[in-house]
Amino acid sequence: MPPFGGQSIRDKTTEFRAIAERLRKEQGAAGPSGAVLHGAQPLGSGATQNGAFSQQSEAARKAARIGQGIHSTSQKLHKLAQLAKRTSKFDDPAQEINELSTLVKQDIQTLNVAIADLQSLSARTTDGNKQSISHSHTVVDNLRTRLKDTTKDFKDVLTKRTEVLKSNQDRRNLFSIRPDEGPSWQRPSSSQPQRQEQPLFGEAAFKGNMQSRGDDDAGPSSSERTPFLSQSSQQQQLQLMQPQDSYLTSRAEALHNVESTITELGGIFQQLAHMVQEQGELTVRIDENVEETLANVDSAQAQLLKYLNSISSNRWLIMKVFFVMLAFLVFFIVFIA
Amino acid sequence: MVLNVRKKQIEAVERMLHFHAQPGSQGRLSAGGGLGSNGQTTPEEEAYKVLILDAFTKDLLAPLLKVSELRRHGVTMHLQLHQDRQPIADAPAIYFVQATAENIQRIVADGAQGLYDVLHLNFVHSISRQLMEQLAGGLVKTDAAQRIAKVHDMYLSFSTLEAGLFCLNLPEAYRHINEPTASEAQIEAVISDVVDGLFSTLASQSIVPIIRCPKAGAAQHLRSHDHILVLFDRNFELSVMLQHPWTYKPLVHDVLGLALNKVTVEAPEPAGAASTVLKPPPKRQTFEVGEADFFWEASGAKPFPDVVTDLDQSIAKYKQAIEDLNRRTGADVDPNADPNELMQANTRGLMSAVASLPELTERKRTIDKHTAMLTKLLDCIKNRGLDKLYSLEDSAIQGKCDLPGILSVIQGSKGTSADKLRLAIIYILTVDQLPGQADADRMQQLLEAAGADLSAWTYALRMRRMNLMGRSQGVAPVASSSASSLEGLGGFGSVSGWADKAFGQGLSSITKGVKTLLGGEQLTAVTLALDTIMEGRALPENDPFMTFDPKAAPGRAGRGSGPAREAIVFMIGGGNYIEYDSLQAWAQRSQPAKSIVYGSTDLPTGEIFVKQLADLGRLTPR
Repeated sequence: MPPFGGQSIRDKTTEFRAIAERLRKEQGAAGPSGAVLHGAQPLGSGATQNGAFSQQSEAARKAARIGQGIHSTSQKLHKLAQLAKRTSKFDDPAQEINELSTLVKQDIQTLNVAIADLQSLSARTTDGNKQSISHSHTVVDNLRTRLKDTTKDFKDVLTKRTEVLKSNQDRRNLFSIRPDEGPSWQRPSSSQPQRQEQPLFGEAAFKGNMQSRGDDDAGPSSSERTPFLSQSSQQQQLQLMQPQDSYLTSRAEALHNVESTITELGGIFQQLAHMVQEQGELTVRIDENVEETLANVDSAQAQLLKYLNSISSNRWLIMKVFFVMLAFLVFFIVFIA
Repeated sequence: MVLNVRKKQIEAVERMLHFHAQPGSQGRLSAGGGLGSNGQTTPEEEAYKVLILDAFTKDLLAPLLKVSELRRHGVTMHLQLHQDRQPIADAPAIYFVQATAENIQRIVADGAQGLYDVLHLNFVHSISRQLMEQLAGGLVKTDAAQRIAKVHDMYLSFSTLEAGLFCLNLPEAYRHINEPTASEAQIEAVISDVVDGLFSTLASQSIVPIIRCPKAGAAQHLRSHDHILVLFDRNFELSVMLQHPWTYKPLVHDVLGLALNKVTVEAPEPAGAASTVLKPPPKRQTFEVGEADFFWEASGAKPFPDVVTDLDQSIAKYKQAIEDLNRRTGADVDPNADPNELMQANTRGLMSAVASLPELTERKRTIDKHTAMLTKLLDCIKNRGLDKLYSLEDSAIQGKCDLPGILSVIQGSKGTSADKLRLAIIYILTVDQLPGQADADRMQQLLEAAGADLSAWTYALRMRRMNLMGRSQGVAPVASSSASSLEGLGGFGSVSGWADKAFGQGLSSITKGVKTLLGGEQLTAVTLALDTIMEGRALPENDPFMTFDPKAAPGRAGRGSGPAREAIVFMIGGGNYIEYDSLQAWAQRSQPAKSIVYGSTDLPTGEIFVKQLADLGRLTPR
């Protein structure tokens, strides 16, 4: 079964064209001037459409371009999401992710500007009718909604990325102890050099860590365990430590980057959300406005009636006042003058 | 494959909105920010367009697609064909209209005026050769033929309300078909409308069914393998159209006037605000129900008191969710927790709370909607005594007629005259032995005293006397099992709490009278007939249904091939939600489960149907 149940729809375009062609020829026989005019225009549906698209105004072209931009951005985003999902610690594609997210960020910013541009353009071309204006308004709104959704997706991807980074870090912390985060019991035992106390993947430290959480009294006794490691192995670790450190700082930097991007995005997102807010037509039915119109007409009539009533009562009041004044005038003229 | 008329129709409409692009390259303007869901989108489909509808297609699309969904497909505006429309530059227009001479004229005028650059024409059923000539002629004359990009026949002239419910939007079909004074041509026209709609439905499903229909009535005129199309004439059973319902969906339909999945409820007027001369028009609230409405789907087929209980539970659940939310984001901080972790957890809680808020507001809106509807329903039930009417009619249909009870209700003060009329007609239609002249006269007098329009009554009486309609022979309704009605009593106690608060006193007094009705699932005559057909129970020699198999050789009637799994039931002359519910309940109950689509020419409420009967009564020569 085709996805659209397509067999039920019948394309009658060719039939229409055949009839139109025949009628044109008949008409052409009657008036040759018309035939020349018609002949100039190609008929095929593809040609008509291409023609139509080339005729599009600047606004429409811009809208189409923005639409395409949003589409390509969301494709990039898709790629980014796939990259960010990779949780493996060893081939972390940090470089790639950074580049891509900068790219997407720039895209979103340019698109944002482009939409604002389009809006001002369509606002400027107020050549007249209401429907045309509402059409261009809707186009802008629609683009904005799509951009907002894309931005939201981007934010989600970045949040996901931060989570992955954090969980990686947590995992590392679980198995290794970094200088600044070493368990408290290691600090006072200054009798040994600091590095010695921090085996990278040492089970001893792990155990010690666990024990130290268990009870603080065990501290001194467990601290004595560290010398189990031979001198040579400590040397090895020192060497291992160096690249590890730079790796950690790069991680931290990446984390910061991502976080700052999220904040920036939050700004854009909010701005867009604010603008789109009035577009709350999620649940509006097609026939809604028709009935609204009817209700409005009803209430308008009621208002008119009310006005009529007030006017007629006003009229009475004016008449009365007028009569009173006339009476006074007569009184003055007759009795005083 | 489960039959789903609604899905198929939406697919066809979406295809239309994308200019009938090839399915391979179909992509949507996905506002859902498609991560991954976004296919290839060609620039052509990025175009923003306007949609032009006429009254018929507006009704057709209204239950299908919301404005936001239209937006998602790139439709910026939907306009009425016969409105004043203004030119919109650089926007292609999609016309979705009926192929009538009037519409064609208007399209030609649009083309001549050059309102839109490109016109895509889609006709809701099909355009005839003659109208096509007219269209092409008009457009060529005004030099606008090249504006037409595409012309399509959609074959979609039916409107789907639920996955298994469609109607053809042909109002008063029953009256038109049974009108004694109608000319042959008029009846032909109605029948051809019905055939068009039915053909549309089948074509959009891409199925060729075996057709079964009773041996008499209008259904027989519709001559047109896994699927069965069962055609019924409304005269097959009339009483169900007049019956007062007791389950939720039918109640909303019959009492509140559900139409095209939309209910309009007049808000209760504030007391004492009656102004002397000018009364402001009553404030109306419009609600939409349908597949997206979780409560409607879950409780639609339950009897009224159960629905109240369900709503109560939904409210409790909603409150629970709100409490959860508050707790998650709340201030009760565990002092021993790591502050860093706490902050993280809090942030996460806040994020998820923000994410779940829209869903909760949506749920709140749904609950409010149903509260308003149920309140209104309860008012009506109280004022019109619908519970009593329902129980009397139900027992009458099950063959346990209670004449004194019926007479006392007709005499009573509760209920509108139309309600009483419906009760009386059901009595006439279902009673085994026609009442004597004295009884009939007495009933007539009582009805007259109640202010009822007697033409419907006399029409029903005469029809019954002529034995043209009424109970179909051979399929006696079966009383529902007593076990299920006992089961229904279980959850009854908890109605009180919220319901009393929301509805004030009186619910319990009303529901007391109908306790025995709980769980009473009605088996309509149509359901029973369908059971016979689908199970292949009827013996060939006394099969009351004729069979047409389009795939069999012409002139030779094929035999139904045993039990079938899927059926389309079509009622010519109007159907209602009682029948639909009955069919769906039966389909789900039967083993293996069956898939039934129910359709009819229109879905009139009981009151409207009585009016049709009355019209017929007036038109019939005495």
